[in-house]
Amino acid sequence: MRALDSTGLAEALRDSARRHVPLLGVCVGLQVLFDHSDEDDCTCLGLLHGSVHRIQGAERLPHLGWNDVEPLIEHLLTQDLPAITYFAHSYAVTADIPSAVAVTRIDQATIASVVARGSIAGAQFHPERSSEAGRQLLRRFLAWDGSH
Amino acid sequence: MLRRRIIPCLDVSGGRVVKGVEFVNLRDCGEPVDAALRYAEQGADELCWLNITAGDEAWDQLLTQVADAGTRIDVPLTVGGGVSDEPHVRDLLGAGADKVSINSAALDRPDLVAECAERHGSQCIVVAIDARRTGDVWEAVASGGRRATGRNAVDWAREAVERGAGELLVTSMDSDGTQRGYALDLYERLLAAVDVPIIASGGASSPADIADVLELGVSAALAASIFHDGIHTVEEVKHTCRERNLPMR
Repeated sequence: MRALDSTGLAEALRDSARRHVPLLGVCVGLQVLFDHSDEDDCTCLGLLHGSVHRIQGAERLPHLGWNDVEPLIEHLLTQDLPAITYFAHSYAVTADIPSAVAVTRIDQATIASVVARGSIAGAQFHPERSSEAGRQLLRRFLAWDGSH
Repeated sequence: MLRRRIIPCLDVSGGRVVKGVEFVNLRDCGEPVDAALRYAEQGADELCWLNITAGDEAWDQLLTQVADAGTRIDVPLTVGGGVSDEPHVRDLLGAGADKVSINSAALDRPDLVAECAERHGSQCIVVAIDARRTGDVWEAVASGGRRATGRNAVDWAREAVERGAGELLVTSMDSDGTQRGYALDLYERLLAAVDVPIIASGGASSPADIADVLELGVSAALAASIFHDGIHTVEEVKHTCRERNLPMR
């Protein structure tokens, strides 16, 4: 967040959000969309409501590797799900936040792995490192006009 | 469910993939980016790129090749070998590595692990540990096995995790390149000692060896010889693991 603030990118992102430009945050890029993160007790962009917490209930952290992404509600971005994608993180938003559109289970934890509300979206996994499943999400995002 | 990973390892020297037994007697095994693409197509869950040439020129060549690999492969890439300070980590992540592994430099200066984890996050900092059996204990060795440290490998693993390592890549130097199977007792001790993912490395001769070590509970198995020599494909290994009810992609 410090880098986003000091470079002016935070304001640019808020401005494009006000103009409903489709935005996809990836990994920590999803996390900064929310109000707050417990990682370094950080105030984030506040484009989506909720807080980022360290994952509770996983046997080993970081959550590193390929895991299932299951659709929670219908959304243009999640039409190709379920899929298996690559994750690398220890913090996440839980599956019960209002913007969750797909979820992932890690032992006893369930996290939101795709979020979307209005023109703001995020993927907790890395589409650029998730082979065909990742390309599918990116293609859906590129074709998306920011609507439900 | 989180899948177990199969990670082909590319030992890269002078810009070429090489393979030796216990890090000596190196043989040329081709061009690294081509090998990376081939393994990704076979279903590799991740690739490990280990730079084994020292020096500034080799480092520049490494960054160029990693940048090329990073844009052409679509699975995660871990890069290590000769990483001695935080700018090295930053350069590799900037070039397109997803994770960076640190070995001897972390043993020499454990604070380096914390510096890198604080700046870049634990999820991309792998501490690589080369272990050699001495009686009933495993000792961490440095500089590709050429330098003894007197440090108990399991104690060092615990300290590395406390300092911020997000994953451990642990090689049994007694097994490496010998194709005699993984050192299962080493990984049992590590799994009990730390709560980060562990990658087992060194000794795989068959898909069954890989399934054996994954069954213990390690998150990933790394292998080089059996893939480079074309003895087994990644897909064959995953097939054996699936037959033994291991969760694979």
